[in-house]
Amino acid sequence: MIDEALGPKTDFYLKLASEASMPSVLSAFYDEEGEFVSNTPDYSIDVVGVLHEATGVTITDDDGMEYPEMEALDGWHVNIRLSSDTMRDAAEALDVSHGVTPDSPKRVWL
Amino acid sequence: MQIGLSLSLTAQLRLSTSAYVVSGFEPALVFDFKNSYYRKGEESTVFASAITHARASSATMINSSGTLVTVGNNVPRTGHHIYNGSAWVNEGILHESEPRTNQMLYSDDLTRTAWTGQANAGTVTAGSPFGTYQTISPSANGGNLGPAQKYQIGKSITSGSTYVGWALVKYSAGSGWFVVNMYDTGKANEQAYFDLQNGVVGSKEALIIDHGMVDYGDGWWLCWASSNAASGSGGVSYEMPNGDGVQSCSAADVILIAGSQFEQGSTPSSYIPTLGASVTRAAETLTIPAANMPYDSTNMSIQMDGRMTFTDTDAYALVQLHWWQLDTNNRILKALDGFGTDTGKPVSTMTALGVASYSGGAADHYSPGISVPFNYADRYGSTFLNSALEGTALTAKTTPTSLPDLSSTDLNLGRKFMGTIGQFRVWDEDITDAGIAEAST
Repeated sequence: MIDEALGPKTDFYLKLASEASMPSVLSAFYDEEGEFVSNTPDYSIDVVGVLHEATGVTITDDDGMEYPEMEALDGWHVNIRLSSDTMRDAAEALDVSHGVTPDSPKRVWL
Repeated sequence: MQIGLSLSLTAQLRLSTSAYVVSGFEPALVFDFKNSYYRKGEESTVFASAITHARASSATMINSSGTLVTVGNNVPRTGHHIYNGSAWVNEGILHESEPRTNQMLYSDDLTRTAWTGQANAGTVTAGSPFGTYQTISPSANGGNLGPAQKYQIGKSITSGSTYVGWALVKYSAGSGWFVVNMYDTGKANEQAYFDLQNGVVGSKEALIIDHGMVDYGDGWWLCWASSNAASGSGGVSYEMPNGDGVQSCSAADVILIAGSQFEQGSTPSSYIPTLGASVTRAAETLTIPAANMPYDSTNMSIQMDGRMTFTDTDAYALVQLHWWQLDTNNRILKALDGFGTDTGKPVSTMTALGVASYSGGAADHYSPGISVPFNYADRYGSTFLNSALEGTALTAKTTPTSLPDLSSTDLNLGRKFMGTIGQFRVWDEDITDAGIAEAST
């Protein structure tokens, strides 16, 4: 259901099983030569890849610099932003099959 | 009837005195991005009717006052200004064909929890080209740079890829030396030094690929450094040493910082402000629809000028300036090669019915760098191909036997391009060697 006040959804956060699944899951965004097309006037795709999360452990290196220990989260993440309705059907189908709704996205569009 | 005659004469007068005419040849297409003048044939028009610009996100640019402004999705960044050492200069349209992501969180506030390190950061205050700034200062005198660091590390990076870290900073008190440390857990510290008080690039450690300073006026400098990732985790540390290559610090040193960025790429791109998440600016495209492109089956001429930012990545066509391609057997291209011994070689390619001809400048005609000025003009004919670079025509090639049929083909402007475009002109005729020399001046 479309919220008329907000208009149709343009941003899609997808979680794939792995990088290897991209050509099959995102097949609508590959050209006839099998090349991934990440940007056209109709859409942009940001391949975020593996997300990481702090474990709560702080690491201190030999120089005394401290940084958080990070661990990889499951999945391969892809953000899609539509600029037109040309790829809307494909994006909405992916939203049904692979869409996620993060409370606080780790990567957003400017 | 008299009115019609009057307008016609006015139009003729306008054309005869056009600032865009070259050797008596009036261009059939003019995009003057600096002066916001656009013309198709004999009719002036507007940007949106002349060229299709697309970008799926907002983006930032610098206005005539030297201040960062944000424009919305699909809004072209015309009127982008670059500081020339004494004034902000309108350089036309800022065009970035690469998407970039700023991984620094709270990129303009070093007091936020995303930031670590012993250095002190002051309150965010109005001012600076980016709108705000804050002070940073070592928390104590030190025999190492521990008290002089503010950093974000532990970020996900791809081993083998090139990253660039930068900050917009200004001298306030003390030694005035500043370090961009491209931290990598696979290599530890990689420091590049900058003298903010005198605007001088200092030394760098061996693992830093390149580093530099971009003048933002009033003492503000964008200091940047690039390096190759050797692990899956890294980031940037900003540090305030006592001098070039020095590892000690003084609590009396004060530097102003307005913004920071850590992005995958070889050179810094436009600023992407962030809060609690990394932020992506989408790639841009500029497409001239075939319906707007002049075309002649015998002779064409094209001119373009601007400023480009590039590094030599040992590749063909590392910068793609104009790209008019029906297919690989029928196309007119202008690119910059960096393969092998080439470091910035401009090459014009014309392929018709599978037969390719080339016209190239010197292997190092353009030097890799930030906002490198360029101005070229080409003439493409059924029996010739030639280029002029910065006012000098090369020797014409006479190998072509036909011009490709691109009458129904869109032209991609800045297909692979990070920089500004001042002007783009097209003639549906041969403006001669003298003409391309004049046009590229």
